Amino acid sequence: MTSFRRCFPVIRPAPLQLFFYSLFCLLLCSPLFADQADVSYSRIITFEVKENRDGSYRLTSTVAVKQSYLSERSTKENFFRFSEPFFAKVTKVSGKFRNKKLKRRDHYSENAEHPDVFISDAKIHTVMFPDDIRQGETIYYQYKQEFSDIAFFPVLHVPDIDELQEFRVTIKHPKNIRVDFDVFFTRDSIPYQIDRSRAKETVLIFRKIPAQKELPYFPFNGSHASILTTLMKNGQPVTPTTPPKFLEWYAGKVNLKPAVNEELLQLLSERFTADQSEKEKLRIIHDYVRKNIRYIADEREGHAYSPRSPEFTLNNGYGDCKDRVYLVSALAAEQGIEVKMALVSTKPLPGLRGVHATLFNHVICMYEDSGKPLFFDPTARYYEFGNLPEYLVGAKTFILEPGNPRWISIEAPNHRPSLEIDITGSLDSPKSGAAKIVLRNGLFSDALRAKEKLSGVRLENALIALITSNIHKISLEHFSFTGESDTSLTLSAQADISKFIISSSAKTYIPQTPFLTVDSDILERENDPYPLYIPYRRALILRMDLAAPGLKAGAQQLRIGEDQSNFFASEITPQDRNRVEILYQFMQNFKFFSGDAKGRFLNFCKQYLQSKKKMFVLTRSKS
Amino acid sequence: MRKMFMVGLLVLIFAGCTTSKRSVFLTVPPAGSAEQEQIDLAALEEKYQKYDGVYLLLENTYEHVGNKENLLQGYGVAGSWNYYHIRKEKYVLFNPDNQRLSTFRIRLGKYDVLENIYLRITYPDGQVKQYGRADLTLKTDSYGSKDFTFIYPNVRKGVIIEEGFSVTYTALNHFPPLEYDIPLQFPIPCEKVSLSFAYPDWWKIKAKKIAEKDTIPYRVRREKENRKIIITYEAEYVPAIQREPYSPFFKEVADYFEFMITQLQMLSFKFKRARTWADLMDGLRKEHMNKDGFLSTHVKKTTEEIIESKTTLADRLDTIITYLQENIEVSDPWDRRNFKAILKDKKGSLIRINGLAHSMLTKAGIDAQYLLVHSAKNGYFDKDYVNSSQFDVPAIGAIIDGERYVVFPYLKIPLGFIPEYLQGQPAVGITDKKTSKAVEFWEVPKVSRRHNTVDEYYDLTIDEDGLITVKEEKVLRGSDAFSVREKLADLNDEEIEDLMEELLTYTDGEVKLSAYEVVNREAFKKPLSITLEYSIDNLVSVLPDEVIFQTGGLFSPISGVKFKLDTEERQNPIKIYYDELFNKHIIIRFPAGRQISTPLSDVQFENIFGSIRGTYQVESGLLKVEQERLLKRSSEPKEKIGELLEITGAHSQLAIPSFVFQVKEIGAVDEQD
Repeated sequence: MTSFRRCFPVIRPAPLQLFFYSLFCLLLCSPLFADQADVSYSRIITFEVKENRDGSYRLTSTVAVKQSYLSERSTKENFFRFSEPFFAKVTKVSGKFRNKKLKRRDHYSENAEHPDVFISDAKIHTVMFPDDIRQGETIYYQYKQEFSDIAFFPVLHVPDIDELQEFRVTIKHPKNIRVDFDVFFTRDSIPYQIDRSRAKETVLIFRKIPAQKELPYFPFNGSHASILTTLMKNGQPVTPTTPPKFLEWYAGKVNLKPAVNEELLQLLSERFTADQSEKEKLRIIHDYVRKNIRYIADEREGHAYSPRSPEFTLNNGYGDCKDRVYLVSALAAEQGIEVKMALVSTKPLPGLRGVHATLFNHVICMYEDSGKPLFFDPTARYYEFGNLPEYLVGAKTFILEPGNPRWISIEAPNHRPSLEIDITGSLDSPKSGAAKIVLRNGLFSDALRAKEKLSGVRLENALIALITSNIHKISLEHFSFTGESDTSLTLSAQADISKFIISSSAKTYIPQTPFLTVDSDILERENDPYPLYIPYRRALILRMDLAAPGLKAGAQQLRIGEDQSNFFASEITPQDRNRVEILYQFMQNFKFFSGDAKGRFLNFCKQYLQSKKKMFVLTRSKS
Repeated sequence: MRKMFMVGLLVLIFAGCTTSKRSVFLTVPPAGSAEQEQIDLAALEEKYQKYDGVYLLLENTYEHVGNKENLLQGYGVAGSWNYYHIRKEKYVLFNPDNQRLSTFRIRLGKYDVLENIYLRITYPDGQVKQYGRADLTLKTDSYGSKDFTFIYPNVRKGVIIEEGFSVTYTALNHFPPLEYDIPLQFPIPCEKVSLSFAYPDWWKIKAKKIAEKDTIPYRVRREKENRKIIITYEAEYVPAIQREPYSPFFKEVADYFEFMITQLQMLSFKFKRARTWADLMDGLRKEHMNKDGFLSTHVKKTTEEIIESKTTLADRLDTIITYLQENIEVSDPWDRRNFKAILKDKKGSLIRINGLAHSMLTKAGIDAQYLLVHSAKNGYFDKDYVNSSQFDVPAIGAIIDGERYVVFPYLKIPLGFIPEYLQGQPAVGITDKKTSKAVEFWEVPKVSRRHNTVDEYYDLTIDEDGLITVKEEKVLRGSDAFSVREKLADLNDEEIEDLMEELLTYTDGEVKLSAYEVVNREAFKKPLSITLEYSIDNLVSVLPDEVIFQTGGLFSPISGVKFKLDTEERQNPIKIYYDELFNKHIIIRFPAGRQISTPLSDVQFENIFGSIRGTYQVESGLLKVEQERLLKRSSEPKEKIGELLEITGAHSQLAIPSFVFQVKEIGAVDEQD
């Protein structure tokens, strides 16, 4: 399991994913990823499973990589990195080039560093080859891994590297062990072989897979497939990949009902009253933890997966996501409220059927409110109780509830528009309008952070970037904060709509689509059958109340989108005394689109982009 | 008698030593001692609220300890030369989320010893907690390097953190630094900064000036009993140093202390730094010049082949430098291939490629010098501070017909172009003649404006239905051409197309790239030209009697700064390193039955930082626009930032968000909803 913590705003891949991340950085995200193959790549992994006398299992593996250089430009890549997570000690690193073994000095390891983790037990290994590799040559390197627990039998990813010559997984195991593979293909299924011809060996082979072009708005670039391996003995799982087994395994490491001591009992006691509801009490606990426990991840000694005790977190005033959730659970338990730990990935998960520790990179809280799950995240410092950062909405979460471990998709919390702008002014003096701005959800959180950390021009620039990046040609500046609630921040600002409004001698035009919410590159996804993923939803409202002296306008409107989940609407309504009101609304309620929904969404985007030239027309009165 | 002789010998051995003893130690405050000093947290917060914290004290002490000589000398410096670093910090933390300030980390080499340490946190209620070495976490890597860390508990706004540690380095395992470059301004303000350097009194040191008449003001005192000289610098209320647009480099504005040991002896290790530039450059001559290869004529033959048809010296210079730029790849700095091998393997270290260039130019009859150029990033050039750290960029200087050229044989840039941080800077030059030790000081030329000119040509045709077809050409020179060529290097066709899409000026509409061409991609002596052809479908609104053209990004990138600059709180002076000219030549073609009704008036504005100019010429079915923004090389006080924004600011007078055309006759219309 990855370390259950999240550091705003960086999303850290799981330790095992780190391995692939390192590899992908070197091979996939480099210019080497292209039409003509630059390298030919093979990866052979041999696992060995042995049963100990006490019935437990020992897992080791050998990873062997072979890379042939097919183009001149690829020859610049002469070093390779791979990670050593705390649960898989790396030994016997070696390499070969031009029939010579690499020298000892050509391999080194460093303590892994990540902006999100202050201390960890992970390491990064580097294998260096000479810098004069020539086209047509081949390098080889390999290393051994000793896993601390068979539960960490890794989720494997078939890398989408130039020309994947071979990806072979051999598992040597006792005769009475049955090995199965749950394979998730990121795009189309790819032929593979499973060889069970030997009683003590199971082999999975992928051969000759061409590279796939990276797609925008697609979450699984860089990988052809993900594989979850399950080992069974007499019908009973050896690797804890089923929900009950996973819970049993995790509960063996962490007491899911953290103990409460006197200090915890005292901590918030004066803030609680008998007449408070459970949710009110949870709000107090959530606010206390998110505001008072600073984020620092110390992942030594297995704490990448297991939280530190509530006492430790409380006494030291710091912790990562799992430490905070554990503390919240303990504080809630003291009030007789059950809060469960919910494991989640902040990036879309491959569609595997089983559970695995490395699938998750974050932990949040789940409370059952009259049978309905209510999620909250005490790591998200600027998110009020009941609201969630956008990266969690729609995510699949695994609930660590004794007796009822299960997957749940996180529904969007009650979602009022993130941005509401009300502009009042006159078409005669479009540079000097006034705006009232209400920020909620992610924008509220970002603005709160900016307000707390910045001042002067830096704060002004942060607010300009935050707010006006959503709207076209409308300038807002000279912000001042006029109100704050638990869920929103209200600001006032000067509004300049002179570049938004277009005037000629006879008419004034007001664009019907003011939001910068759809990028035209999304239309590149029109012709493929794969799902579309947009990392965030949108809910925006812009109202304008404008004096329009000497101008006449009839009621006009535009509506795009067929359902309430994705739509845009704008309308102009003439008012008394030479005024017009214009209302714009944009709503995108989902992040994942596939099949017909994808087609409908892309059609919505296309219509929105085409409507950029549509105008509300106000005609100058002849008098 | 024998006994007396032995005693005498021992006295001679040990009493005869000249020893500089250690004089500075870290004092660890007794655990549990309360904070003595009264600190007005509210006042500090009020004063420094925009920062994450403020240093109340930041003190660094460096000390060298050891023997000058004894009767057993001849065994190197083993065990006799140690040096120490003592650092003390005390700061108030305003932002507990700043992990750098709320934790402790120190990285040491395998043999370096963390001699002593204390970490102390004082809470706003007066409670004090103190920690020591046993509380630190230690991680090592495969080199044996050590990473000590600590996380302060219960950090909250207003805590005071004190850190002190001393590290021992032994010369045997970690050769001591003989030059120091220590910043004296930091990302957060500092109420008291202190720096001490204690060294044996038989050593000599020299400090570098930070401005023409300005050396960091330090005091010198002697400790006779310890055979020690201690130099000390102290300052109070040092403002934080901040990065701001159009600012000089750090060393051009901030305080720093750069000094070097010029002479020392520690047992058998004797060191005397070159006293003159000629002596210093002689070392470079020996190491990186005259390396053609033993009895090899390969360099000579290659030179002759290359310049065979070139009769003028200027042509020969151009040919040789171009040959090296195009054919030789820069390898590791420690690559010691000789010149023959460099030509053969097409690879060499930067400093040796420069030596090869010098050798080839000399063989071609050109009066050339091996130059080392000072960078503006290194701050003030102190001619009396003889140290190669002041000159870190190799180049070739050539004098042809009295004209001076400074060229870079390892950079793919045209002759005459010089990176901005080197323009106008001093350089020191030598020839390869072993007999002449003389050096010559050069002033690197300032590059003419033509090298920093961007020309953009747009030819837009708006058809009756509002579809726009665009032919766009960007002509890049100087740094812009260099950086785009770097991006283009090693890309295949598909990747180039992706890059071209990123370079499109239009971002607003639905854009379809139909063709592109990159001209002079490899011919880096010529301007890099990128031509893009594309259509845009949704920027024009065709209405019954008027047509609206939303100009997208066409008229806006001429603004340089897209965000607000702090005109009142600006800290740094304004520095623009080179002239920069940006031209847009725009032709918009539209159906003859339409007439532009948007009022267009020419723009002309000029101030100390440059000028902007825009002219508009309307003909039947045609609009011609010429826009120009000139930014001039300048060095002005911070108060002038408002004037700079008049040229570069986001609210440029050149911006035209949309045009309205009147339809003179009834045409096809796109009726609105």
